[in-house]
Amino acid sequence: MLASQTQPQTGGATTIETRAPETTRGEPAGQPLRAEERIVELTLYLNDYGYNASSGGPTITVRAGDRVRITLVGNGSGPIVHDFVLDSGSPSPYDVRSERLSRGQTQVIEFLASYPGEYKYYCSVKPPFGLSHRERGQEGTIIILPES
Amino acid sequence: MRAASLALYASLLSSIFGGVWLLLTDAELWAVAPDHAYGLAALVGADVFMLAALLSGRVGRRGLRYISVAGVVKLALVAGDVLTAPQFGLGYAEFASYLFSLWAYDLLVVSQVWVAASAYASSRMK
Repeated sequence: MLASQTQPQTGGATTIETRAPETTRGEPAGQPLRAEERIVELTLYLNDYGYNASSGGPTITVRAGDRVRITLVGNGSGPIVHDFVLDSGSPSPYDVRSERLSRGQTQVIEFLASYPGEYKYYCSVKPPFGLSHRERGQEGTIIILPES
Repeated sequence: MRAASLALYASLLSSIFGGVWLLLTDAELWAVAPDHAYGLAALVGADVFMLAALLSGRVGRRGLRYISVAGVVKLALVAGDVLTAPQFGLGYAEFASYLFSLWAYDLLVVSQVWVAASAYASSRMK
């Protein structure tokens, strides 16, 4: 019942139309009250230098109020690590940052899609000088639609 | 003698260039193995020191032999980086394949052989 399914090493970026596989009651502190909360789940493979692709990443579409749960799977070559970041550098009002994962490592990150808008998620790994992973194409778009 | 000296200068410059390039542009070096980055910085520092000593004209035959030995030691350290593959959860062949795909790493390895050989040749001619 995943909202999307992914392909580890394919070419161009795709669009992920998310669905809500489950709902839950209750809200974390500080969040507006809602009767039901949709949990949107997806998996992203952190490839060189893209998400589910060799460049770029899928466009993830959710609704404001959805809880987004992303399973990240490290899939870089050699010692290369990648991460998932959605923060002020995106730019966005979020502060979501995964660990840097090497091949085979996984991490589940979760955040509440509180702010509608279109933002970039990206890999923050970069050398002191030269191209960062983001500049090599490792970024994608997340669209948060207004609450219906 | 002059040709051997020029070759030695060039070898040290290429070693410095390869090391600095890796330090500045290899994101994984800093993200995954900062201890390797500091080690490489130390090797670059040693190269700069040896080049400065050569340019000062105060390096005699014995000094050239030391530089030759330093080249061999640096070669062992740089090439021996492959042996740290388990630190990254990788096999030796896979890590070697990754390292040798970096042209600056290749330059670094070749430069050490060049340093050792040209310093030894210079010492023989002195």
